[in-house]
Amino acid sequence: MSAPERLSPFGPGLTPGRDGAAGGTPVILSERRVDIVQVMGAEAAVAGLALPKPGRAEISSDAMIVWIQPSAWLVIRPRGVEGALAKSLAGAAGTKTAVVDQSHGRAVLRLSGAHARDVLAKGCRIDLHPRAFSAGSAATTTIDHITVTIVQVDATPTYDLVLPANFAEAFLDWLGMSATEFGYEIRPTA
Amino acid sequence: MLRIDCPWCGVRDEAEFKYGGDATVKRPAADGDAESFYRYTYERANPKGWHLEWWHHAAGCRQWLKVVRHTVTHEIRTVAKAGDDVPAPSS
Repeated sequence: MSAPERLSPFGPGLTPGRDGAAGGTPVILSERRVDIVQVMGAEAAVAGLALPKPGRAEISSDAMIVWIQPSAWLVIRPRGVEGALAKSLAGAAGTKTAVVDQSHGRAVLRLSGAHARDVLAKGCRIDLHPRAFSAGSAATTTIDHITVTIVQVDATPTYDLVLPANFAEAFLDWLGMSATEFGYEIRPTA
Repeated sequence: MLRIDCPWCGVRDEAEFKYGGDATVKRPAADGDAESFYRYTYERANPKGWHLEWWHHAAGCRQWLKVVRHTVTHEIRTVAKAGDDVPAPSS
């Protein structure tokens, strides 16, 4: 018997379409279906990516590694075979690593467009101005009382938001309200 | 609202932190008497002035920090990692 299809933690709120103010450049939202693995105690490169310093992320075309706390990182890669990423990382980055698969515990939302920074800034206590936060920056903070790891992917700006999966729908409620004044477009899952 | 300069994350708002109490308190030796454990558990100085205290960056890097804060003005003089040796301020 094959495994049942996984449901999106964002629920029906992330159905493709356009909402909010018409005209202007909408903010683009999409879920990223990814595998997420927490690696603690790594001493060398992980999954081919150098270990980023505090507040930073290393991003390649198909994977990223994000600093989340001293000696701990998140490795994020497009979804593959269940558990395969964690298995491949176990022991690969030194003998003292602890590898925990977070693929079911977290959800990743991509937010992109000229107004993406304004949308986040309304609920976010960290400085997102380009002089303080740019492509490759990463920070864990709270938005609408939900712990979010913000990774800036490029200068558009595009952000990947790593959320606790069970708060994904609640976060989307806040995001929709914040993005309404600019208009937003939900794209199919990437 | 306090702004705490986390040694790992940079300046962040108090809302990301949890207060963890007096950081000068030292646990008595395992064979200490009941009186010393009573003082360790319950007795605090409650100073008016500089205070060395624990803060946990719960919604950030999840590290415990040592903070020297003025209990009247809320000015923060020092923020250090948990393992750093920070001398108790003399009010």
